[in-house]
Amino acid sequence: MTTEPSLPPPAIAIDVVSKRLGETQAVDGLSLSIAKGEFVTVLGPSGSGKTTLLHLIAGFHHPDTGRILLGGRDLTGQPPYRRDIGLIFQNYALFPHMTVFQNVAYPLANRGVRPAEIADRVRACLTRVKMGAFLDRYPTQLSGGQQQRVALARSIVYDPPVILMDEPLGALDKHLRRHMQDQIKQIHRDSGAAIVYVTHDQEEAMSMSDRVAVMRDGRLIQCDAPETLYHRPANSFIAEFLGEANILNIEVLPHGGGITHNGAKVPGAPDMSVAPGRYLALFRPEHVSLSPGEEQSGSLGSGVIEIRDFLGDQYRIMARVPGVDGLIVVKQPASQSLGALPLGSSVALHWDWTRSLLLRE
Amino acid sequence: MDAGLATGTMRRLRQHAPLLPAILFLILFFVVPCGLVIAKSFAVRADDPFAIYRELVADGLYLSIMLRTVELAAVTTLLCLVIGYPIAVLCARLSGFVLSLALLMILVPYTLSSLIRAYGWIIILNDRGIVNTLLIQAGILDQPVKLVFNGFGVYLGMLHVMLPVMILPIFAAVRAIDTNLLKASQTLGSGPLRTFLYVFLPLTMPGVKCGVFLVFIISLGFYVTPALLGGPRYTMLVNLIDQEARMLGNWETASAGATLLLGIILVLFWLMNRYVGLLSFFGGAAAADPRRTRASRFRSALAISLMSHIGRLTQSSARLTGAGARVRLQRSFEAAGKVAAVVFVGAVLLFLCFPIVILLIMSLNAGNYMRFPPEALSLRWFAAFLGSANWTGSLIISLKLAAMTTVAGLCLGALAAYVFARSSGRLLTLAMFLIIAPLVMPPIILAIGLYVLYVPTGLRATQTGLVIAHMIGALPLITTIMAAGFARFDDNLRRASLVLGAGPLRTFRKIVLPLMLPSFVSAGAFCFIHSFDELVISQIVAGVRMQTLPMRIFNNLQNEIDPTVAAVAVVVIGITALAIALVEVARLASRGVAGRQGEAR
Repeated sequence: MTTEPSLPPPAIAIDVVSKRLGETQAVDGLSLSIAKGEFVTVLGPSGSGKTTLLHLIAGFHHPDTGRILLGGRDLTGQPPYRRDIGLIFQNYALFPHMTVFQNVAYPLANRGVRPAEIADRVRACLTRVKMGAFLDRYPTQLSGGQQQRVALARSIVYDPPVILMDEPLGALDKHLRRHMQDQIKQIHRDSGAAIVYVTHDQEEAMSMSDRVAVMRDGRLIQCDAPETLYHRPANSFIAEFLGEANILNIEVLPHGGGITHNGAKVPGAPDMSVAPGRYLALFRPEHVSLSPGEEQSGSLGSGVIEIRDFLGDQYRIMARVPGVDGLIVVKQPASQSLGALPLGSSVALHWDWTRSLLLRE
Repeated sequence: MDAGLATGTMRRLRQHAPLLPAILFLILFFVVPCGLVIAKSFAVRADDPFAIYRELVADGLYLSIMLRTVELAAVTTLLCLVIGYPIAVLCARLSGFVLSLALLMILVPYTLSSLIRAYGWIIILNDRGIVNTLLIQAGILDQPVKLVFNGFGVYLGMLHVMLPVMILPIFAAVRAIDTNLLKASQTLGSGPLRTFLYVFLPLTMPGVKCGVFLVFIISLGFYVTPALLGGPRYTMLVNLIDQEARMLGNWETASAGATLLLGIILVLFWLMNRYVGLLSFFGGAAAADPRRTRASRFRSALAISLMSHIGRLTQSSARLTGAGARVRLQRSFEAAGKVAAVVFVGAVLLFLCFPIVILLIMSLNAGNYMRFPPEALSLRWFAAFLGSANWTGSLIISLKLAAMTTVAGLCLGALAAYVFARSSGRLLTLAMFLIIAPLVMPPIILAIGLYVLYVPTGLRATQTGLVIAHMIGALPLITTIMAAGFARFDDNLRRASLVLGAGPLRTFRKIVLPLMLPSFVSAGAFCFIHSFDELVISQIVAGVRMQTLPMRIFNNLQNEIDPTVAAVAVVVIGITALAIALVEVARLASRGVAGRQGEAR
């Protein structure tokens, strides 16, 4: 007797879920499937519905329409305490009247685990997040980073198959953030839980995730690997939201007639082999380069440096180019010749059209 | 769209459902009785609804007593403002132990039954009291002067009762001032006087308005002090209404009087709101401004009782703003006026605590008269108290009533408070008004109304009837204290508990209850004291068989002054102090967790 090898059900399946909160459509027809052990970051500006989505998965809200399945089990209508989900809050939500030990023991006690086993598991778990020496402290006696680690321990101690994290590092300083990001990734690898991580920090999203889901106005705009999002964004919103981008309004003329920008013919543009029409041309700052001096062949044109930021390993330069709206952003490895350029000096901008991306308006 | 709207309405209904018990309760036992009072006064003669009012006007007595009542309230308010403002400002500059002591010296007399305080003043001011005795011994007087049962006694007593009501909201307003504003004003070139006039004073105005409003309205309906310290010339409208009802059984006239009092209050309410913008702190403006956060809307909407009736909150918020936020108006003022300031604050605080001290001493008096100094010390009046079935019976009745009121009140109030702290909206503002209204409603009006409601429903002279009557006045206290607690409660803790696998009941037991315990304890304690001290309504609806302790004390003070009352007073002081201590312990216990924060950092 043979059975068809069927795919395992996804850890989380969000099936065309909508949720209205007061006057706003907080989540709007959103579908998303997250595999077991996958790390998915939900990214979006504030008010885009990220937290509502998380609360829908956790069961604090119930969808107006649509279904949410966890490991193939339909959870729609189930209260939070029957979902077996881990959740880390932005403010950690550690119980102030309980010690570190009691906080971490709480979910196990709720599940009727024997006290001896609770003690073992809590100790092991706290040791894992390097908080083994703080068992009897109260949350208010801990630093922000320590509280964060206790919150982490509390959400993994009962081995939930899904852990939700709501901007868990939002309150930490940059250095500590970096450290905690590594720790979270470590725990993700060890536990094999699927993680849904909400943030509005795009760098964090790109560095941590298997996939990034970008939300806007309650809708899912694109969900892909960070590299794909960066290099092949679905639209200009994502392009600008993830990293910096120069975006030009262009028109591709029919019959290989080249490209115009603001009505003027763009020099040096290759044949784009797309249907003629209006497009947005996207260039990442690292795909534009500049060199001192006047216009040279193959360049976009000459510009004038208006802003120059020194970032350590590179310069971020913003130049105004006649005939182009806004400033063009350029990132270029730091070199002495660049550093010596005064503001207001003329530079030639080189534009690699083969690395540009055309987006339909 | 319609479906969305319908689910929205459903959701809101579900969210607001916990409000319903309190709202229904107040509609039934607060709105309806007040309506009955008005209706009864117009229903004396079917053909001429104003008949009774014409009689009252023709009588002349009512008119002059109304004027005297307004005069008493106005003068009391002015006195309290003149003395209370500097006291509040000066106390706000204290910190640490001295601050706690000062607040305690304001809070304890404030919480103590006004009946007991009036008794204390009788003992202090009578012909053989400490004041007259000392003045005669010092050779200033040849014979005692009349200090009580006249205007002096009434005003002194009213000042004593109302001063804390004025001080506490102003104190809270001063503590809330960001001291950087004063520094900014000075660096911008304003001298101390200009800084005071243009920055400090305007910033304290919400507290001043709140204090003035409360003192005036409460004074208008104040019963005990004029009745006990004033003699017949100082009969106020409330006392007259009470007499009409209880002594003469003229319920129609009493209803008309109560309606008049209600009318005066509403007119004043309207005038003050119109010309002083008094109600701006009362939620109207705040609700209209969507930018305000829930917390601040909430704070302003409930300021009226948060600030004045719950010293605990003022106290804890004072602690929160911390020692660093002390107001330094002016260095020179500080140096030159320091001695004067200390003497002034000390004198006023002693004035507030004086009756308590005297009562404690005089209860040990061995003589038959409350003569100062006591000839010998003994516990005979305590023995008399314990030996009297009447006194102990009344004590037990009052304790039982207070306990039942507290349990029932906490249930209704906590449920309502949960909604107030979680959501907002026009309807909720209205509900909040309804719940706070009993705070400023003269109890005599409610008493007449409840009597009219109770007689046909058989609730008169029953325990249930009294518990209901006490709950009405306790609900504003409970709701505001609990709502402030819930507003501080981080809802993520509840969510965290749920997601960690604890059901709603377990979450309530393990997380919400322990963290909210201080709020439950303070709300319960204040509710207990309110019920334990309630006199005016009880007197009218209780009947003869259910003599509560305040009723027995009041009767005793009006007829013969039995020295046993001094022992009773000490018992009441003890119970009040116990309640306050309980609040403090709960507060410290909750601060204990938070307090360790400082050590760790």
